[in-house]
Amino acid sequence: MSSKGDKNSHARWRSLLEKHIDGELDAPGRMELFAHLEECEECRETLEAEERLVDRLSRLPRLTAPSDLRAAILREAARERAEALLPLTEDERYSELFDVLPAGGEGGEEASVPGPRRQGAESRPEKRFRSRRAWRRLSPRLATAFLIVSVTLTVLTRGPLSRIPEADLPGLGLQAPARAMVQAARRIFSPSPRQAVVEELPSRSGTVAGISVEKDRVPGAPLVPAAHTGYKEPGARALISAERGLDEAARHGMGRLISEAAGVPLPAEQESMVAGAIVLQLEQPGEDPDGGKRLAAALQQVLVNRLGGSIRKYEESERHGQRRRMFTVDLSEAGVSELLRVLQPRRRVLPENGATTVTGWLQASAADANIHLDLFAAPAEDFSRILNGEQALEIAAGRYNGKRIHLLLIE
Amino acid sequence: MAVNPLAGTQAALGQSAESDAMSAAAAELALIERCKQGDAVAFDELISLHQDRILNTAFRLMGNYDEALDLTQEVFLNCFRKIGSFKGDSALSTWLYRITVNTAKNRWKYQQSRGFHKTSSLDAPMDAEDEERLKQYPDGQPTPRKVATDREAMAYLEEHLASLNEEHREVLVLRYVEELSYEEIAEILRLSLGTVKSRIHRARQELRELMKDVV
Repeated sequence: MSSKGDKNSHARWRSLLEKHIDGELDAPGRMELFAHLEECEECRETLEAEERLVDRLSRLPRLTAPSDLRAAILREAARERAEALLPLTEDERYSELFDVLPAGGEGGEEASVPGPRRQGAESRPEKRFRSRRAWRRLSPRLATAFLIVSVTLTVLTRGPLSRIPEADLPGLGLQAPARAMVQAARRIFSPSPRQAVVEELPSRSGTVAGISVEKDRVPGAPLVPAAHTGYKEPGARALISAERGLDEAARHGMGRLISEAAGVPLPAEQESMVAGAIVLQLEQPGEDPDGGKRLAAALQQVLVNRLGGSIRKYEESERHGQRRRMFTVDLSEAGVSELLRVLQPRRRVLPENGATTVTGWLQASAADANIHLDLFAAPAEDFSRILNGEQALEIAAGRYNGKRIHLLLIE
Repeated sequence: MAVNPLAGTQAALGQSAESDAMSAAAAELALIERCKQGDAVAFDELISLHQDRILNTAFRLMGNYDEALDLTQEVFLNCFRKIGSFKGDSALSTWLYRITVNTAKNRWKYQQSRGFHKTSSLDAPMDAEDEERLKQYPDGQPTPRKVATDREAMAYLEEHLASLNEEHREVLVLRYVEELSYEEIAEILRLSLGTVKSRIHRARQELRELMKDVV
């Protein structure tokens, strides 16, 4: 009897001990427990052992994630995105890539991309056309002027050029996309003294050019491309980087295109500066069995037929053993508007310097292509010169964080 | 009537803490929304914010660094795949913990089905990696002998923690390593509060038994 009573009593003390360890015991309970502990060695030892255990558990060393873990996750996520479209047929993939574009565009049915059209998408083109009309109403002056808006498509591939039909490749020339980007950045941020950093970012399928233009940069200061975070990571190749200071852009007449894309109003006096360039860079990892022909054909159909653009020239160059193909396509203002809408750029404020930037992520991706987008805008005549290669380019090579970089000094 | 001279400051601090919590919650919601829209930069931010805690939880659940890295990667990939269905009923960290625990459980099941089991012996001599790991334990004891004993005990603790059954290991990791509240653990494991408490109690008891010979 006494033993049972002891047992019950002990169970009660154990319960109080538990509560105490969990910090749930009230003051009177604690007083009672401590009084008991004075007399009961077993409970005292139990408490000490419990406290030691809890203390040790909380002192287990903490790990810090290795620096490459984040990049590995992003890389895998990008790969998954690409593979998500694998079960589709080739035509479906292209359709998937561009299915948000209007069927036939303004060019009618003959402009359709091959492949099945999605059901239930009938209402979307109408909406988009309404959007175009609205935009035009907002800027009749601009709508009447022809704006040179260039879409430069770069296809990185190892395949032979000869596989793309000549008819698809008017105006052959040589111009690396990095050069075009550098020149574009130079024009955009001129005449203000700025320094742009152009990086060659190695990736699995080649080298990606990235530009970082730092606001109020002090010459000679360490190069910290603050605006580029994930973009620098190898795993973030599919990230569309349009990270430019929008405030900076507005001050220097960068276009309403970006302003609209970012949802930031642009002062009326700067509207006349509207023009834009989109460098759409397509990377094709690994071997491409047909030299990018299918991809190029699909892009042509979308950009030319659906968006009403025209191919100005095709350029090819070789870099780091990889062939680059760049299509320069002139688009109408409405075409660019549509493309921007499709690409869903987003506005964000950089924590580093408070600058507003536009970053986009192309939702669609194909198994054989990741798409980069850089958005920037400049006066039309500047782009015309830049893209025609009339501007001399002087850049100094250097190294930063183990990567080869080019510094572009802007006077 | 006594006036608390700090009352105003305390109230202000309380309000400030509340306001900080609200803005943190709003920032988290915005981040989730961006992730839902496929914003890669947002994914990047999400990983940066949570990778350490997920890696640590994974390490304690799996008891192996390489597996913890694999598990962490899988957790975030699962997160990206399912972020569209995340309704925000719980904190993002709670949701991530839940994915971590569930992913670990799947791995345990897989390992069991393949006949994997831990074979390390507590009596086996320590290798260089163990020695290195021991050095990570914080010193806080006055004598070298006690330091050595404490470090040894910590090493035993790690081993014993890893040898607990899954249910016990996960509650102890969440409660004492990750220092989550009972309510959070209940939410993560989808258990009642009472079940969580009793499970933690039993787990602690089991671990204490295993550690009883360790000073």
